[in-house]
Amino acid sequence: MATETVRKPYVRHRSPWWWTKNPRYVLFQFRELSGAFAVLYAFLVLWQLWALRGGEESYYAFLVFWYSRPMMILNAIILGFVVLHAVTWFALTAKVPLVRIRGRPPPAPLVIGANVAIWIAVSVLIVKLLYRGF
Amino acid sequence: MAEHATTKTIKLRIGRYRPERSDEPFYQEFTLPYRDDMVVLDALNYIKDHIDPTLTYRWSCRMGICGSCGANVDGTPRLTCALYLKDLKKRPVLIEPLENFAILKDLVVDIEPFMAKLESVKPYIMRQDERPIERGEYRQTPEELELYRQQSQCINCMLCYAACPVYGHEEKFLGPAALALALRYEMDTRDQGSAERLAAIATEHGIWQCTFVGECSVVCPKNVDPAGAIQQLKVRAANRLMKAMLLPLAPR
Repeated sequence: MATETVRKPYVRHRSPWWWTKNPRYVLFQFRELSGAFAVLYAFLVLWQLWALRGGEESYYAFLVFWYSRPMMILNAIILGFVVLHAVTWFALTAKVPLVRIRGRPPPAPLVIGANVAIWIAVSVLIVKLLYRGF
Repeated sequence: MAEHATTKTIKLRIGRYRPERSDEPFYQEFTLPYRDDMVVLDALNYIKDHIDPTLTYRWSCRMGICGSCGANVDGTPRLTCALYLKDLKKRPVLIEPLENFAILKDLVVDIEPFMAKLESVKPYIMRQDERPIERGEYRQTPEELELYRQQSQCINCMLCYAACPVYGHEEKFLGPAALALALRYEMDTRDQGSAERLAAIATEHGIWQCTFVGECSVVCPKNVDPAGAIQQLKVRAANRLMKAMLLPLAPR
């Protein structure tokens, strides 16, 4: 049976500032942004390697720039974003129970805690390897 | 309820849209008698019964199981039957149709795109070897039921779609509830249609469009955790892809 429709659906327009309405949306936007800062840091490290390849003088010039106040501030910001990136990633791992303990997925705090503990242990190990002999 | 001796009143600001009269939605404020035991739906029913019978909204069970009465209350998608007015701080209380959906009238939104998405994830048991009916039902242990019980609790209230900025950005996105429903059948030991179902959902507008905002799981009134479900589907789809690449001749 054919029915006549008198519908007139109204589609709302979304504001570009939609994400400011909810603190969890803000955190999400910052988490997405953190990826850009991780890439920026990768480029900075590549730049450091490039300066090292240029010899002692070029590397010294790089270090003077690297330890300047604006670069210290930028590095602090990058560190903040990278930590946010890592912490939110570890929080995600709890959502995907790959192992089961007595037939049940392990509790989220255990999964996140174990991941963070391994992350810290590996970081400490790397720092120790880098600074061995200093 | 009008006969109750009450001195307290409450003001509601309700999003309205009357397609037969205007081209744009508008807001209308109502002041009505208030009691501490009123939920938002009670207030809407009071308005319809005593102030303005043209106010249009969906509701049925009043006990958080039918999934009809969802609306954005003070900006957050909620079941209006399960939300006490006394728990809301702002006045007037702002009630709007669920975000991200086209409005048909007042608080009623167009659910048809959502229904099509539910269907598209093949939410039924698919068998390779169909057993004759004389051999009885496909049995499961309580542990096997437990594997998908959480996802099976969905009441299709669509609060998760209203909370999902990805769906707000791209209406083709299959979205939280439909994908949680897909996992419900993926985890069902009676099902043998995983390849077909994953092919339907492991797509640009399927699981891979989800950026894990996570708000769907926050607003879900039934603790279905669609955000978690989608991440689990991503792992399943990725595993299947890797197996196909590394072991091309192995049976799948």
